[in-house]
Amino acid sequence: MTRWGMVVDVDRCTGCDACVVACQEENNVQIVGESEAANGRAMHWLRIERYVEGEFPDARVTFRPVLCQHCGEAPCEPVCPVYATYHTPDGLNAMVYARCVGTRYCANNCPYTVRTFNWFDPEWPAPLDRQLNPDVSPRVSGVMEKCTFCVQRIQGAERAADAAGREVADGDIRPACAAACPAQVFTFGDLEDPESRVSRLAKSPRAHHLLGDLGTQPGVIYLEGADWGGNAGDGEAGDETEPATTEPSTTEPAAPATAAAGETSP
Amino acid sequence: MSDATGPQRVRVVLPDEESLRGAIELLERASLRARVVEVRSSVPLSEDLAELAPTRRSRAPSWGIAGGIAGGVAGWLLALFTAKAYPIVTGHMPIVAAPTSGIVIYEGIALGAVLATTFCVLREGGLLRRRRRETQPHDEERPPTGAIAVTFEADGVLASRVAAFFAEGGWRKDTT
Amino acid sequence: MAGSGDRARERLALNRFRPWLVVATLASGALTLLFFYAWGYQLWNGIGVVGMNRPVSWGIYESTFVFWIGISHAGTLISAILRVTGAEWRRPVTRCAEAITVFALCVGGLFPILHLGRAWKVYYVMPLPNSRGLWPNYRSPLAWDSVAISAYLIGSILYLGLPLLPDLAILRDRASGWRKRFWTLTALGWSGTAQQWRSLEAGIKVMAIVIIPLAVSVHTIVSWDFAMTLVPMWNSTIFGPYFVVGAIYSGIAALLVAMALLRFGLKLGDWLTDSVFSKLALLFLVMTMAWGYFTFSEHLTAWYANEVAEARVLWTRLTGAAAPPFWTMVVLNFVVPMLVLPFRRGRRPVPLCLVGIGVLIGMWLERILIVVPSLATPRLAYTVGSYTPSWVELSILAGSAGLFLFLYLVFMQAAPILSVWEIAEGERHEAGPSPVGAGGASSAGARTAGARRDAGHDVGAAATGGA
Repeated sequence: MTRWGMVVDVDRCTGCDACVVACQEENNVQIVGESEAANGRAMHWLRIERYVEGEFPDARVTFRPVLCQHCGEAPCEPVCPVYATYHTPDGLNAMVYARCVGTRYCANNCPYTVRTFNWFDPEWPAPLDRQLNPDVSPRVSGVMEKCTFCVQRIQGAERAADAAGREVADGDIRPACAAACPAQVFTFGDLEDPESRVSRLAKSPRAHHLLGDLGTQPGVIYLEGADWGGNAGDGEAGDETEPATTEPSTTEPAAPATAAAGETSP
Repeated sequence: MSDATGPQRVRVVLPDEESLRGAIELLERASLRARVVEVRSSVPLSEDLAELAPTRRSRAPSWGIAGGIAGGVAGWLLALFTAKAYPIVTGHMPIVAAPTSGIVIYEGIALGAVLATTFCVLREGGLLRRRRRETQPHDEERPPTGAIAVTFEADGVLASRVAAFFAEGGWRKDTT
Repeated sequence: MAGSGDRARERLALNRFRPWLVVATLASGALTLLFFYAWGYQLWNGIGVVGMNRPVSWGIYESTFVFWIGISHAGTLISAILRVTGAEWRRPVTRCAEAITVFALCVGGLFPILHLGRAWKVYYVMPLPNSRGLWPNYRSPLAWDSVAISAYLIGSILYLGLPLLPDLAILRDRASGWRKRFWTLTALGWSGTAQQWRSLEAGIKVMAIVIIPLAVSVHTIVSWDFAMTLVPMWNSTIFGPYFVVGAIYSGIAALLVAMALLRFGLKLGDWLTDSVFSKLALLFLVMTMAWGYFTFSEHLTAWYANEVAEARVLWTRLTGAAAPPFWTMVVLNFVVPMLVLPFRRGRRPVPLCLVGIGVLIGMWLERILIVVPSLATPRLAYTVGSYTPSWVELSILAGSAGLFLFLYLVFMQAAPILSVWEIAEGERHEAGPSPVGAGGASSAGARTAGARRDAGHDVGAAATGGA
C-alpha cells in the first residue's frame, strides 16, 4: 500500500511565498482580487503563516507553510452529506468537485482551516487565463476545494512509471510547492515505504504533527525546533538534510526541542 | 317508506345533545325500539351518545406500531444500502456505522408511525374514497354546527311510527 | 350550551375579515417578495454575495435555520405534551401552536437549501437512485438533518391536519361557491360519524405520543450539526438538550406572541383567556430557568477547563467582539423574564407578548453567538476572521419572518385558527356533568349514578334495548 505524505521543514522556510504562487498556478486556483481577499476570501491552498516572537530588535520571525494535512482520520470527510470529500486508498484526502453542493461543513470541521471555497465563478485576468493547467479542472462557484498534493502529478508519475514498466520511484513525484521551493522545505513521498526520504525525515526528533493531539493522523509532518543559531537543521542529530543520508536508524534519542504546546511527536 | 315491510331508515336532526337524550328517552317510553345505525355531529359527542351507534374500536395504535416497525426497517435499509452502494471510507469510519444508522432508523420509526396512523384514521373514517366524497347523498344535509343527525333503522311499521313520532315532536326528519 | 356556544363557534370559524389582516398580509407578502428577490439575486450572482468568508463559512443562514427550527417546537411538541397529559387549557392553544410549527418548519427548512453554494444541486442530499450509484452519506449530520426535518415536517403537517378535518367540514357546511369547493376538497368528506370521531381521537393520541420523541430528536440533530465537529465550543455533549430547551423556550415565546396578537386582533379573549396565558407563562418561566441553567453550564465548563481554543471563543463572547450581542442575549433571555414572569401581573397577555418578543430576539442572538465566534476563532490562530452580514443575508432574514407571517395569515383565512371542535368539547366538559375525557372505562351506569336529573342517563339502556 501507499500512503502519500509530506514533510515540511519549517526551520528551512524563508517565507518567500514561491510555493503559494506555484500552487496557485499549478492547480488553477481562482484569483479573487484585492477586495475579495480583504473580505477574507483569498484562495490559497497553501498559506505561509508568519509568526513574530519577541520585540524588535530581538524579534524572531518564523514561517509555517500550512496546507491540507491529508489526515488519516479526517474530520472533514464524514460530515459531507454527498461524499464530495473522501479518503482514497493511497491516503489522499480527495475532493470531487462535481459532487460538491457547497454546504461548507467540511471547512468548518477542518481544524487547520485549509479548505477554500469558490464564492464566485473564477475569472483570470489576462494573460493569466492563458496559463491554466490543462491537467486540472477549474471549479465553479459554490464548490469547496483544497490542496490535492498535486494529484495530477501523482497520476502523471504513475502513468509514466507504468509506461516504463517500473514502480514509481521515490522522488518521482514533486508537487508544485516542492518543486518551486528554493529552500527545499517540502519533501513528498510514500510514508508506508520505510526507505523513502519522507519516511526517514518523519523519524526526526524534530518531527511533529500540527494539532497532533486532535488525533487526526495527518499525512503532513512538520520538522521544527532546530537550534536558532542560523544554521537550521544542520546541528540536529540524526536529522535528514541530504537525500543521500541513509542512516535514520542511528538517530540518537536526543531531546527534541519541542515546538508549540499541543503538538506531539508522531 | 314505499315498502312497508323491509327495514327502513329514519334520519332526524336534533339541535343538541339534550334534545337527543330527551328524544331517546321518549322513544323508550313509547316502546319504539328502533336501532340507531348512525350518529353524526360536527363536534364530538358525549361518550354515552357516541355509543348509541355501533362503532369499531380504532386500530390506530396497532397501525402506529406496525408503521413504526416498517419505518424503522425502511430507515435501516436506507442507511445500509446507501452506505453499501457507495462503500468509500470517510474519516476512518466504518462503512456502515451503527450509531449513525441508528439515527436514521429512529427517524424512520417516527415517520412510519405517523404515516400509518394517519392512514388508519382516514381509512376507518372512510375518508380515502375520493369519488364518494362528491356523491354522498347526505352531503347536502349535514347537520348544522352543534346539531346531531341520528339515523334509526327499523322494520317498516315501526319506522313509520318513529318517523311520525319525530314529526309530531316538530323535529326535522329525513327518511331514506 | 347549544345556543350561545354555537354562535360563538360560528364567530370563531367564520368571522375573519378585518382591515388589519389585509394590511398585515400585504406587508408580510412584500417581505416574502424581498426574501425571494434576495435569494434569486444570490442564485444568479453566486453565493459570494453573502458576508461569509474563510474561516466564517456559516453565518446568518445557519443561525436563522436553527432559530426557525426552534420556533417550530412551539406547536407540535407543546401541544402534544399538553394532549398527552390531558391538560384542559390546551384546547384553544393547540391549533395556533401547531400552525406555528408547520410554517416555521417550512421557512426553516429553506435555509439549509439556500445556504448551499449550489442550491440547485440540493437533490444530491436526497436518497434518489441515480446513475452514479452515489447515495447520500448517512454518516453526515447534514444527512440526518434532511431525514429528521422531513420526518418532522410530514409529522407536523399530519398532526395539524387530522384534527383540522372536522373544522374544515364545519366551514364546508356553511360556505358556498368556490369556498365550498375548496373546503369540500380539504375536508376529505368528513361527515362526523361516531366512527370517524372515535378513530380520530385514537389517532391523535398515537400521533401525540410519537411526535414528542420526534420533536426532541429533530432539535437534537440540529444541535449535532455543531456538536459532532471539532470546532471549539461546538463539540459539546450538552448541545442536544441545550438546543431542545432553547427550542421549546423560543417556541413558547413565539406562541405567546401569536396568542396575544390573535387575542387582541381577532377579539378571541373568550377563549385565549388570561388563565390560559398565565398557565403557559408558568411553563415559560420554567424554560427560562432551564435555559439559564444550560447557558451557565455551557460557559462555566469552558471557562473552568480553560482549554486554549475554547477559552478564545469564550472570551470573544464574554468580553470580545461578540460581547454586545452576548450580554443583550443574557438580558433579554434571562434577566427580563426573571424580573417579569414570577409575578402574577407579569403573566398577563401584554407583558408576556413583550417578554416573548425579547426572548425571540435573544434566542436568535444565541444562535448567531453559537455559530460565528466559534468559527471566527479557529484552532490555528493565524486564520482568525470576522463576519459582517451582507444586505442579502439581512434581507433573507427579514424576508423569512415575512414569509412565515404570510403563510400563517393565509392559513388563518383557510381554516379556523382555534380548534372549534376541541373548544366545543371542552365547553361541554365544563358545562355538562358527563365526563367524556375519562375514557372507555367509565360506564353508562357510573354516569347515571351522578347528580344529573335529566333524561340523558338512561340513553345507554335505550340504545342497547333498541339494538
